[in-house]
Amino acid sequence: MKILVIDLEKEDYSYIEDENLRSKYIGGVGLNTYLLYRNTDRTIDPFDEKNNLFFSSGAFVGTNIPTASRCEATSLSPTGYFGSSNSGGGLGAAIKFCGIDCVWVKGKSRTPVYVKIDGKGVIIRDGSEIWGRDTFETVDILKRKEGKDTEVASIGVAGEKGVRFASIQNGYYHSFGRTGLGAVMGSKNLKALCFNGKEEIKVKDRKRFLKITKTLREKIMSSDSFGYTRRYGSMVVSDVYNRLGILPAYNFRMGSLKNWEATRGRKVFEEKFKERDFACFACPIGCLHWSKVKDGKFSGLETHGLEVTYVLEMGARLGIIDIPEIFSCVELCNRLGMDVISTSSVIAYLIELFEKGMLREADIGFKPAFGGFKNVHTLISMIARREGIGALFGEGLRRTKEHFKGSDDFACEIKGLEMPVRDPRGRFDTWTLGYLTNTRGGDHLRVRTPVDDLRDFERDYEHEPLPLTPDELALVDMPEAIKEKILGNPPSSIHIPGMAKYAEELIVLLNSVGMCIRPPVLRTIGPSLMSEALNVLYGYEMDENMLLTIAERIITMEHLFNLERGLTFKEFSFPERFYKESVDYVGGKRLPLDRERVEAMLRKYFALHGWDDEGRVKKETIERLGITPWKN
Amino acid sequence: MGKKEILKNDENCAGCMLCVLSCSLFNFGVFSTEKSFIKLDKDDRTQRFTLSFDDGCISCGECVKSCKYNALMWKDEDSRN
Repeated sequence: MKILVIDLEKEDYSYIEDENLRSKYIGGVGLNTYLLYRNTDRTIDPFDEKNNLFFSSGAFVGTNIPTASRCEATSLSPTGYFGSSNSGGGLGAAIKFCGIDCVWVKGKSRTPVYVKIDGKGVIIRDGSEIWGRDTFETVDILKRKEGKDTEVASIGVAGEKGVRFASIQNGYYHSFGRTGLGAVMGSKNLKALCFNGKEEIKVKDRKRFLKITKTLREKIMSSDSFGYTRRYGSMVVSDVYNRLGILPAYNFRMGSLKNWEATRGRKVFEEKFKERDFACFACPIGCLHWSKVKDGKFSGLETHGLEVTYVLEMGARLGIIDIPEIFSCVELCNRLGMDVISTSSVIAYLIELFEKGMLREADIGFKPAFGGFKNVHTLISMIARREGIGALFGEGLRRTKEHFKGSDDFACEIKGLEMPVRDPRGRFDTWTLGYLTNTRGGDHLRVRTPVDDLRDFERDYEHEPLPLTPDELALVDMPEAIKEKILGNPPSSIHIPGMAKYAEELIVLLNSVGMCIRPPVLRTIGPSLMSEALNVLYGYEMDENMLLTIAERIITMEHLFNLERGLTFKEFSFPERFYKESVDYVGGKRLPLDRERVEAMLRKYFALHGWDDEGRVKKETIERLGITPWKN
Repeated sequence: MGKKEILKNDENCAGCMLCVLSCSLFNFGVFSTEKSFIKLDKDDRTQRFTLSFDDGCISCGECVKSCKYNALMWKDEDSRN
């Protein structure tokens, strides 16, 4: 395993080579977590030059293992806690073709720069020409200068201006969206990283590699979710989210919207906008789509999408009805380099403040309203550039809400990260508990189960229904002992705290080997198949239980990092709105959450990890996992 | 018998690179975008892709087998047998 270390202050670089790191931390998020945990002072400000930024490709990336494109970026987040984000496209493979697994960025450059990386080394170049430009212009310029096939990770104006939820854009359309890593990159005066290597990637046991790759491909492509994931991408769930009442409409004040399916449903997207499919590196699923607006004021606009996150955030949370307007807002976020979820959350909060009279027209410069495209578009730009009211709101919800007494109830963040899409009152399942347990804060992507579905069911907090028949369940790649523990014998229902722990381990493994988490993969590929692929690729002798222990170690290190940054039990909480208010949806009314029962589930989840009732990691757990404690 | 012909349809190409990877693994035992006999030219801004074959291509068909988007096919379907 080869780690490229770039020191921006010393304008120098070096390599660390250590094969043991791969067998202990795999790659991707696993490797990044280890490097962050071991090398980052817990007392610093996220924008301190001593903060580190890591980009690691997953262990399978660069090969033809299906969907192995993913790369993880990690740092001490501007939220103050563990920050990490995962992205597809071609960047992960480009890192591998430079002959490296990871890039570790240290220090701060005195002036704006970008770095060019290939198989021979690193050149740090003057970035004054691209500083201040949007990410599309930046990628255009850098591809002209460094070669058309160069893969570029860049920040926009938001990252330069320290917006705490700034993204790092991967090419034009992919993002390391969550946890504000673009602002960390901006604080280092680093505008972009360019990768253009031509190194080769070797396979330890080619014959067995061909066999396991075939198995993985057949599993993924025969998943019943394969067809609709190709056809609709993530938009497949748009309609059903409305029916379940889990939309975040108007800042989580409506669970469904009357005209949703007719205006922002998957059929409208497919019939009116979708032109063709495209794919990330090594992916046979092809869930990405290219869309074109054929009439109206945005006629001729061509772009990537629609992703369901775009339509849930801009369409439901901010109430924008017109899909071309949603495309336009998302493209602006991408160009300025801001996370779509956090941006929508912050704007929704701002509009609700205005509705409640806690912000005045004079404070903003106009009257903002849900559904108001022009206002939203203007606010996106003001926040990214930190102009006017945007100077404050670019600090993110947790810091902004301190300025508006009495607004905590509807500032929708968890552990400092703006919370996305699904309303927990509409559905209390493994995924919902995951919003609280997630080590990067309020987020929906790190606790995903291989056995859930989207049927409605009555809330009981501790269990959710098991949607699979015994035959279907037998096909799920999950250790039998764990299946029995979580699902019962015979399998009857899903124990939510137990599945939350397993589901986060599964996602950590996928994010460490660099495979995708879309349903055709998540539901078919588990620790046994991943260990077999690691063995033939690198010559290991791992099994599924060893991989799950690695995942547990990684998650515990992320959690320890947060605890050492000051995280307490009270931050494992949904915003007050969800405990106090009911929410209307097409099927009636969803009642508020019961705090005691939510906390009881959390404590059951903690106990399964070997953490105490307050979430502190017990000494014996640290020892069992072989973690060397951090000392400042 | 002469070399079998592989046809391409760039309109269907999704840019996944599976053909490039499969070619280089089969013919050179490594993953290499340089060595692969099939090349993929990407326009990332518009997500348009252009496939081309190097002179060294031996029509082994690994690229056809790997393509899941109907961008590569045999000229005569029967020639696979």
